[in-house]
Amino acid sequence: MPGENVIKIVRRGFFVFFKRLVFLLLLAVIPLAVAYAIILGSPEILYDPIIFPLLTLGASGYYLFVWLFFFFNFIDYYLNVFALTNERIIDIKQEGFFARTISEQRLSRVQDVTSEVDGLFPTIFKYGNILVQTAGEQEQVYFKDIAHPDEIRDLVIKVAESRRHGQKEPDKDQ
Amino acid sequence: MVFPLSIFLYIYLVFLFIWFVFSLVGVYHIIKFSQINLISFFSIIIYAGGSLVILNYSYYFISQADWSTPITFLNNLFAIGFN
Repeated sequence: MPGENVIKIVRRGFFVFFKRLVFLLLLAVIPLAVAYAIILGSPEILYDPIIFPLLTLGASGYYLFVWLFFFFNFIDYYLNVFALTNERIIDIKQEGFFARTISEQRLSRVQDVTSEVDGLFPTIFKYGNILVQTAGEQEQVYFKDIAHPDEIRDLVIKVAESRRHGQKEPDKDQ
Repeated sequence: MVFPLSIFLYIYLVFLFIWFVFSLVGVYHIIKFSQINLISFFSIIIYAGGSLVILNYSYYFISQADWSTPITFLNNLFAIGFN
């Protein structure tokens, strides 16, 4: 929009992506453990003219799938964005392979902002949820696993207040 | 019933095609919906590089197999129970 400035762009906390990364690493290790067990138990399988090619195809397909799954997890993390401008709050959600949702709320409708950090890892790694209460038809907007939710809540309140009072918006990237 | 081992290779190639289409969808998402910057550029490069490594290892092992080997399947199915 003309005259609209992006004040802050926030992604999910990095630990959310890291958890998935650890899970994918475990998935990648499983076939290696199976291969090790086969080599120890029945190494003759490696010379079988039927079983070994089938194992090769299976392992190749498995690793390609895990690698693709990792790529889409990164895309999911990287393209899920919460953007705050001097006019709006924009929530962009990449959901799976083909679904993408973009929702927005005007700052003038914002009534209340709540941040929520619940659990050991969210407390340590500083991520949590933000609930924005608005006066519109869609009364609540929920942002999940956002990095530094307390700071974002303060910033949203500050920008919404300054918008309401017609003041200049706070500096970018506060 | 006897069929060649290469049938599994064709199934694998179909899987490879589907995997390739999904990879292109991922790259398309990055290019279309994110800003073109170092992170998006390197994420594509790293994904492509990793894929090439997996495909290279796969080719190394797949090329060593004799795909004309016949597989015998359910040959004595109807004989079971009569002996």
